[in-house]
Amino acid sequence: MSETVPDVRVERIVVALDASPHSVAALEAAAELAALMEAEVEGLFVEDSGLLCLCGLPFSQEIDVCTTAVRPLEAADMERQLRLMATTIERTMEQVAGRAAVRWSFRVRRGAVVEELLAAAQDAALMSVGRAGRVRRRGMGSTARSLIERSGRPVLLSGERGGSSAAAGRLQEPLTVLYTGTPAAGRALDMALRLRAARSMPLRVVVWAGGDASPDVEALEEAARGLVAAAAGDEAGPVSLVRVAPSADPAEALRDVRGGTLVAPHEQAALVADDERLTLLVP
Amino acid sequence: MASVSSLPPEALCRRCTLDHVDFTTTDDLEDALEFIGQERPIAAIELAVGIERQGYNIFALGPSGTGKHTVVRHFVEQRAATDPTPDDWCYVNDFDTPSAPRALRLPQGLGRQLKTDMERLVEELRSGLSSAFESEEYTTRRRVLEEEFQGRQQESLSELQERAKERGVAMLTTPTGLAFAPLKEGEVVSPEEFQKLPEDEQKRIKGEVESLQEELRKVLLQMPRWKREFNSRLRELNHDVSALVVNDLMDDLLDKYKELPGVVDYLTAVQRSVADHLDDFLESDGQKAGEAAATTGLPLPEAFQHSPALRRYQVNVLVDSGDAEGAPVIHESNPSYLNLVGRVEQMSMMGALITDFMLIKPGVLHRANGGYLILDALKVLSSPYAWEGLKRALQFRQVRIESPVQMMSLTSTVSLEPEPIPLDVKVILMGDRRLYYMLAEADPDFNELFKIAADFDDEFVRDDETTRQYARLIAAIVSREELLPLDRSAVCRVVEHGARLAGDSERVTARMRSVVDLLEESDHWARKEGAELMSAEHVQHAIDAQIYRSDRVRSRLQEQMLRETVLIDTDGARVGQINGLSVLSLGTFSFGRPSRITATVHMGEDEVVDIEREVELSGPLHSKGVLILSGFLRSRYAQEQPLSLGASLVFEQSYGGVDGDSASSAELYALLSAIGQVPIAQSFAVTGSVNQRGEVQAIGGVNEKIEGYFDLCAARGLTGEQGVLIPQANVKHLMLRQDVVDAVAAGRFAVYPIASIDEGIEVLTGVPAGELDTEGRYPEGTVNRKVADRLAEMAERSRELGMQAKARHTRGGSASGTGADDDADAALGSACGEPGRSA
Repeated sequence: MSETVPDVRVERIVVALDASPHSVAALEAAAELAALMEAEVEGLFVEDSGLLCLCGLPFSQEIDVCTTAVRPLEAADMERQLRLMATTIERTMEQVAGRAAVRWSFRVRRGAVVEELLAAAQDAALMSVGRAGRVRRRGMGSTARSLIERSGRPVLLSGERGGSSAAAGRLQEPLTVLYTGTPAAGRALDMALRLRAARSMPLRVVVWAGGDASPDVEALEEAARGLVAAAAGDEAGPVSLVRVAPSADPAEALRDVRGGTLVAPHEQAALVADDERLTLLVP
Repeated sequence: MASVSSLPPEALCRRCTLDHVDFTTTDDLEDALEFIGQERPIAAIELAVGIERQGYNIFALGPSGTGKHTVVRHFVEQRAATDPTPDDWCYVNDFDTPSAPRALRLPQGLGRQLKTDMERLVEELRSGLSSAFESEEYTTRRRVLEEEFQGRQQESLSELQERAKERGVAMLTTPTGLAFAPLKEGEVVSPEEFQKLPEDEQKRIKGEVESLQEELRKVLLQMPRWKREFNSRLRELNHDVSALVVNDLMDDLLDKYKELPGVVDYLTAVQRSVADHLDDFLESDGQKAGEAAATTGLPLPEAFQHSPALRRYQVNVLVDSGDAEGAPVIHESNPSYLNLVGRVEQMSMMGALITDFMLIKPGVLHRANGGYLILDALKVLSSPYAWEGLKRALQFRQVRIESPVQMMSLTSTVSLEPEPIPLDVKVILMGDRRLYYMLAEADPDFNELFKIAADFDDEFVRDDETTRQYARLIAAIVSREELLPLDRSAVCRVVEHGARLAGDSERVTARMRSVVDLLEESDHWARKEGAELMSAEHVQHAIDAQIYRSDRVRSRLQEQMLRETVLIDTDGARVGQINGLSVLSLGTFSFGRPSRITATVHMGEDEVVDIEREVELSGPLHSKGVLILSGFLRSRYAQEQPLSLGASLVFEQSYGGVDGDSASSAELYALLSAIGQVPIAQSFAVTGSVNQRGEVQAIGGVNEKIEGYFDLCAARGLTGEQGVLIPQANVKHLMLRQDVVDAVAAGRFAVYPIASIDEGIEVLTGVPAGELDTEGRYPEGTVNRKVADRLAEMAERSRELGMQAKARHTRGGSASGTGADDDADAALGSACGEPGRSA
């Protein structure tokens, strides 16, 4: 499937693909980020072994979401459908990656979805996933949640909402970083600074001292300033600081700073679970 | 010698002196006059404009150039100024039936007001609705709704998922739906493991899965209902948000137009339509149009480039009387069907023709509604369907805009059917008399629709009052056309020429166009000379130039006589030969020409052969004249004996045909001369018709005839013997040229007024005619005696020879009533340079 020779030195962004609009947004986002970071995009479609198991059970049936019709499940049908999905996904990937002019590869694995993704994340620089799967739901899907909790890699969350997948997966200005002073927060800010350097754009640092580690806000601000100053390139774009009172609701504060792309430490995943914006969670 | 004296020079042309008018040049005259005379048509027009009932339309009939248009316009405009200004008419969209636009009647000036108000309304609705729907409040309320709906869906699915998990079952997403699978340690149980499970356990799991499937179905079945509920609540929200904006704007308008129920109805319909089409107001400018153009790659018409959907709220002001004062008076020079009733235009959009109520264009009937419409009858009749369309509008008193194909039901293509507009218009048709009488006879609707005929005269009586007005009218023309002023002599000359054009010294022509032409041409000659005033010489110059321009044929004919190609004697005396006079008309120019008429007699049976008639070169009037003169012969000379005479009459060298009876007296003189063998002096020319009693009757074109003969004599040299015999009744028509008058004054030419054949024959032969004595005989030596003797002799001889029964000529005719004025205009021209003439 791959059209490039694997190169360990090249950073890889792994995209979890399942043909849902969310996953297409994730692919768009991954492609854009890959172009910025000169990384390679690897698409991964996991054929859920659970489904194939199910097909073998004597009472296996599926219910059509649109018509509520009940159909028996056949292993052969399932195989065919999964192949069809893989083909469709690969075609989409070819288009998206072609447009972004990034190197890409596509793999199909069979197994438990989360486990396969975690395995793939081991040697990836970043994971890109849709917020939820093919069935629409509020908040974050279980797969995304597991990845954030267990992968130890930065996870890019994309969600299609109201607009097209392409729009949902686009890096919006300004970059908005939630800085809480934790090491993860430091890495998040560092990542945001790198992105800012790669593509000149304004940076907004939301400083919140209400997390587990709670130094005073001034110190946090000072630290954030220090980190920003240390990153070279004033010409890369203006930097603004937004202070959030420790007593304030940080989720609300984040919603108040509208627009842009969010970068947050992964321990604050719950804060951004319901956010519609493209979100990068950094461990 | 002749018992009739020739006319004195002053009788030959009635001079105009204008002694009763005090002026030196036309600048001294009050020039406010537009027309004179025409009391009859004026009364008709005043009546017609005064009667506000159906069918009182006017047909103004009369020859062209008689000032029909001026008079009609004058009186109609006078009336229109005091009439109320008509209402405005607009077409607006009918929101229920867009193919039948609604007509709205509004008081003067409110049409454009409504148009502006509607434009402003749409603008304000756009901005008002956009800001309402973009507001934080609306966005939040909408999001709450959406989340509520999505939340319901997702929560019910999540709940189900949780319940399944509790029962050791997972909800899996298949490529095409959802499925439930039993779990063991977080993994789907494989078929092998499942087979190893005890049967009861297998049954239990199966039951669980089936019951979960049923629950899922229930959840899924709820979803469309929730979606509907969401949509309806969203609509309600939209309605609530829009109502605030719409009602506020509409209330202002409804209040403004509350006196006009039609407009209130329309505005209410607009209000409903706006609520149903909120999306149209929320689209960015030209968005839809842009999309359409992008899909096809074709450019859109300009009118559709900006928010095409909002066109339906525009107002098409068809008739705008905002700036008008009084009723409209419109003269349409191109009364085609579509120009009369209006049209629905179409425009090309992406290769197809489309239309809407904004493309309705008014016709002249719309613009003249409530006022007056002046049309040229001939143009209306010659323009396809225009007459039918006009009649229909007048009959039904409404203007219905239909294309001719629609009118004839030849098409069923979808098109607009605009609501007809009530019509209240007075139509004035202009045309010549023939057209009027033709329509009156041939079209039964015509008399119903055009009840008033304004019959324009082509001349009026020449008296002190009319000549004074004539002078003022000339002054008015001079001032209007910016011509040089006329001095007294010039005005007199123009009046005299007006009388000459009327062919009557006691009348002047009403064809003012000829007068205007003459004034313009005189002005040209005067300016060429550098004169500051027009004088009689300039006018005369213009008249002479007019004649010179048209008299090529006349001079060619005269040349033929002078070179004796055409034989006309102007001296000496001949038996049975006389100079008759005829008039030739070529276009607007008429001239007289002498013709030789000869008569021969022989023994026969009461038969006068008209050779012209035998060869079908004569018209019926000429034949009638010949039959009348044989009637005269019989009544005078054949009371006691049969008329044993055969005679033949001919217009010598006439190749083009002849009509009219004005040569009948000349023919009779020739016949009498031939019977009585009395020579006729060839220095005379004769015109006049005769009746069976021998009275000479009036003829037309007397001036042209006299001048025609005078010109020939003058070219050969006036002898003093030459002259023309005209009917006494024509003396009042004499308006002869100055050179003729001068020659008569000098005794070198004469004009004799003749009342009877006896008077004429005396002048022509120099022999007394003779009257019956008590014994019933004519005195010896008189013409009548000679004729009677000769006829008696022929009768006697005929009896002797026993030739009563047989005649050499078998054709003849019977006499009928008395002669009327002849038709001086019959022109049966031929290609051989011998134009038709009337004698």
